[in-house]
Amino acid sequence: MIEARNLSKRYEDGVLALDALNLKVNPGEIYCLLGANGAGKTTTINLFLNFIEPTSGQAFLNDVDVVRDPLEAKKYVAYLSENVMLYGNFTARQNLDFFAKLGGKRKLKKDDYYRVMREVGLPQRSFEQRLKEFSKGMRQKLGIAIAMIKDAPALLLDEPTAGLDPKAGAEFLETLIDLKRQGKAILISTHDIFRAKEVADRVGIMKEGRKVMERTREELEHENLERLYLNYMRSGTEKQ
Amino acid sequence: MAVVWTIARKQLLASVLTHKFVIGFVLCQVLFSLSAVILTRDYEERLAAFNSAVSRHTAQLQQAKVYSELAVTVDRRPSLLSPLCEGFDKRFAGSEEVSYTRIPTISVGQTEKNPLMAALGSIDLVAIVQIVLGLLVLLFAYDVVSGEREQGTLAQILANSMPRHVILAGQYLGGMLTILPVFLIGMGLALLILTFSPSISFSWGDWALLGLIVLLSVLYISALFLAGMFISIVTRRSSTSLVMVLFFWVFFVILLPHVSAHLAYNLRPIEPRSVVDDRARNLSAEAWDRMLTYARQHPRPLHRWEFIKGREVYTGDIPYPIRIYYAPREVMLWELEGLKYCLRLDMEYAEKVHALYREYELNVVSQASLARALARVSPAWVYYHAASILAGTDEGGFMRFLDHTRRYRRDLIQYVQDKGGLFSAAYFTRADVDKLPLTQELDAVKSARGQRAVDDMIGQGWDAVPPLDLHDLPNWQAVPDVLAERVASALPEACLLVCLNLVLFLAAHVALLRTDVRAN
Amino acid sequence: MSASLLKKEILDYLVSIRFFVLTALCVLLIPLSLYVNFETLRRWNADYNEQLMIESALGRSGGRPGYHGVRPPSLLSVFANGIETSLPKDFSLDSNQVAFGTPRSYGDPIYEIFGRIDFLFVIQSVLSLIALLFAFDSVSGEKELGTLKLALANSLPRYRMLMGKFVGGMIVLGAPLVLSFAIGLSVLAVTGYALFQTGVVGDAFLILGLSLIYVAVFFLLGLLISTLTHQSKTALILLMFVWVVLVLGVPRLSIMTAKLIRPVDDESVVVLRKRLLTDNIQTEKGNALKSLYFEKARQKGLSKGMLTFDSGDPEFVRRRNEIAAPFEARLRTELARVDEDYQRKKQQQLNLAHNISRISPAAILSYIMTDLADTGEFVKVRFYDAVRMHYANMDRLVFSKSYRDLISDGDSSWGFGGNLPGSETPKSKDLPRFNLTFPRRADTLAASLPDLGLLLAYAALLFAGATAAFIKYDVR
Repeated sequence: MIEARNLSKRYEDGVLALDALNLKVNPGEIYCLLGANGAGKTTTINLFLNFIEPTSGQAFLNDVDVVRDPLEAKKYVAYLSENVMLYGNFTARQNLDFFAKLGGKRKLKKDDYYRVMREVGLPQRSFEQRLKEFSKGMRQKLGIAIAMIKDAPALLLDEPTAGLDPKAGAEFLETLIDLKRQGKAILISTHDIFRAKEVADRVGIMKEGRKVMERTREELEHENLERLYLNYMRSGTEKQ
Repeated sequence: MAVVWTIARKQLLASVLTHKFVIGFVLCQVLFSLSAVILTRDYEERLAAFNSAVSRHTAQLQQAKVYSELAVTVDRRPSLLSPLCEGFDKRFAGSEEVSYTRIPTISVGQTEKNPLMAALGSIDLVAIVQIVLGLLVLLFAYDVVSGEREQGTLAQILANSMPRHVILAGQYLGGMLTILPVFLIGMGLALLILTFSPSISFSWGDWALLGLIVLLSVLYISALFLAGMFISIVTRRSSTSLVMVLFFWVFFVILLPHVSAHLAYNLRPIEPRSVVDDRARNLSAEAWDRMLTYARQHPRPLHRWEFIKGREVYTGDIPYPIRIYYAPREVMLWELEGLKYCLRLDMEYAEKVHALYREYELNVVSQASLARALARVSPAWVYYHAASILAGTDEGGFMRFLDHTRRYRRDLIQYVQDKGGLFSAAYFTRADVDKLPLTQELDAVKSARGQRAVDDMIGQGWDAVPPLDLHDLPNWQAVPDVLAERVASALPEACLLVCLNLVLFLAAHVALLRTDVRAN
Repeated sequence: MSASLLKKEILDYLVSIRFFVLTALCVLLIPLSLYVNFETLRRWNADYNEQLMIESALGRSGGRPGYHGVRPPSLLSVFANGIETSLPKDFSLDSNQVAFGTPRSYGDPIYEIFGRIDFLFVIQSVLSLIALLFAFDSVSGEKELGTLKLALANSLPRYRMLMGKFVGGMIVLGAPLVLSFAIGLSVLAVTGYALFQTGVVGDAFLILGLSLIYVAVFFLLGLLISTLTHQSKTALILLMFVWVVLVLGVPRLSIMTAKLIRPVDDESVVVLRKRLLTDNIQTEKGNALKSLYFEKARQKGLSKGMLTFDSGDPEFVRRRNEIAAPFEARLRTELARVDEDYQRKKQQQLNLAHNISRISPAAILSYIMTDLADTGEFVKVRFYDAVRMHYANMDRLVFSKSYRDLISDGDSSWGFGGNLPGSETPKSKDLPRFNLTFPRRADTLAASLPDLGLLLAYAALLFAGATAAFIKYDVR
């Protein structure tokens, strides 16, 4: 569903932001990409969305090459960006309506929007409130709603739990599991080791552009993810 | 105090390291330099035109052979500081003719024939400061507080124990330290380019005036920064402050003069010039009619054209001579009597016509004063007006020129009177009237000795007559311009700017005390 | 998808304070400027009619039909004052020259001092600024909000998004403009403006259309800069400077620059040159005619020092004409040449200034709009041509039928002048009247076409540039 084959990105100034990434997220799977800032997580997502072009390798969304046919590929993916302000003068519903229509969902009704917003945990009174009055957490939830309403088979989420209080974070995880059960392939880039452990089917750790480790859920039952993570942050190679 | 400097330094560094500053800086320098080059050339041209006009008019004067020909054209020198602040330097006439029957009066209108230029006015350094730097200042000031509020740093700063006016002073100082170099370097470059011109050399007094104009500019920039800061404090988001600031700029800098002109036009309407021209025409016609009446009552004595040489008059039957080289005595005496009547009448009517135009002049000036008073709401126009006073290009300068010209006319007339040239034969001839023969005597000579003998008596004609000796003619001197006077006239405007600065600072302080520092 | 894009763009503007400011300024300034200029036009019309009356009144002092001509004010000058600020409103002729009067706007000195707002000014200066204000954060602002990459994470081609921004922005900019224009026209109609005279409404709509194109150019400029910068603040500063340079700087500096590149003698120098020329040729003519006059004097037995023009002797007259003709012809042609030379140089300087100024859409707008309002270059050229023709007519009918001979012989000089015997000068009432009609709209439009094309080319270029830049734009 979401696949990267030897995906690499080297910038003009020589920096190798991504080094031969191989990644596959199947439908009904949640894959968490962990790593420090600058490790290449966001670059990966930007490559999938064709915001930048890879220097080598390929990225596929629903088996469509994102470089060769970006517009087609984007039909199959929904995106949540970190730190998004959205349109301050519009209400939550208006923001949602706009992005839904852009995503191809033209026939939705007000109730559909309200349902989604309720699902992500936004209070009823905020539905018709203008975004400039939203707190960071509420904006984050709306961002999740925007990603959900597209009902795309793949989801790319960049730091989705940043800014959410513990209760909202837990609610979000439940939503994610729901989406997974619906058969969506979900790629999450995050710092949040703890939640990653709770929800991921597979976890990958990135360091300085390389994926240095990958573990499945079962393997993690027997290992301490935190210790693993911190180890790799220090040394950088897989200890077999 | 150290706190103020800390905040100022932060503000300075934050501003200088932005693209916005670099672009603004570079563009300002380019604008200043380019304009300085063009303004210098323009001034050089105007000065050259002035000099050639002066020499032309002096040469003309040297050719006067009788006092009737003594009409002096005085030229107004382009103001040395006009590249800095053009004011009205180009909008009033460059020269005025002064004669017995012509009293100079206001003539508003441009010497610029290009309609595009005429519509937009021209450019000078003060206008660049007023418009371009004004805009730049506002674009730096608009998010000085609202931006910090949005970033969350305002709350951070205020989480310390310092009074708000200290913060304000710090932001203000930082902002001014950012903008002032842009202005000073730009103005410095421009002045440098000006001084390189061979036609431009500043005296100490000029440098003093320049310094004052620079000071005024600083006051203006400061006022605008404070205004922008005030708007930044009272609006919640920086995007709103931006719009408000631009609206402020459009209204106060671009639109206000036009609006105030229109208001003044309606609040103090004056008679249109065409009406005054009409009345003046009627007066002239009346004068002419009276001269005709005189002519009818005092017909020309019988004479022979062959005894008259070099005659130029205003019109055949009216005895109002311009010059006559030679004529029989009774003819000359007739012309002389007529001259006394006609010239006196003409000068009398010139005064009457002048009274009409003087009233019109005063009306225009009062209307303009009203417009200016209304425009005082805008710091941009207070600044420009003060600068134009210092540069000597305000309409007060032109009025002084006119007054001086009119006084010169009186001096000229006195001079001619003292020389016995006014209501006497010397006005129109160099012949000694009392020694002239009568027609019958000339007839006798002609029949006795032939035309040749008469010709010998009459003489060569005007070509052989040397020009008048005018070495002691009072010289036209440019209006004596006392520095102190100019500074004194500009003082009220400057004070207004200072007051504006203080008021804005206070307002900003009060606003900051009451503002909500939270981002959302 | 395009519909929702458009809707979002429009709504986003509508709820912002920018739109409120725009509407307020439009509704305030446009009808006001039209009304104020209509008041002025009324005065001008009254003045014009009075002058016509004076001119046609025979025998009164000041009325000499044929010797005097007045230029009618344009009905459409309420939109753009144009040449009324610089073109003489009347002129008078004599055998030597044409003397031009003052421009119409000098009658209101306060506006000379402080400047006048007309519709052209409002569009040129205020609306262009507002268009930039609307566009500057079109792209860079969305990037800052994070919504740009959200939107582009969908299958939306970038050019389509840009197109949506352009159309949305233009709808929002255009609506208040059109509304205020309509209000302005209504105010005019209600206060007695001849709005429904033939062609006026059509011209008004042409002017409105032109204004919309101009506003579009500036909006596209803002859009372009927005796609070239990643921070709205940078875009804004850049745009403000561009505005100052294009709207305020280029038009003013272009004429100064043209004067430097193609300097032309001052008018007084030309006047002097013509006077010198006249004196010289008159002297030469006098010398050629000397022997004829002396011979006539001898023939008549006149005493020395007496010469006469014997109008009763046809042979004398014929010989005089024969001798004088080449000199007079030469005088005419030389004077005409000096004039033409001067006019040509002035026109060249002006053309250069205009061409330099065409860098600025603001200048282009003023050229087209003043032409549409019959207060532009087109009418100016027509006026001068008409004056020349009128002078030629008067010359043919009146001036050429008079003579002026100056004979000098060392110490004596004689002057003779009057009407040539054997020629009839028409009576006052039969003299040609100066008549200037306004050009046909089709002709003005044809003349403005290149400028209009230039404006549209600007728009196209800017849009192409913005699209190219946006396709490469880093949305992260």
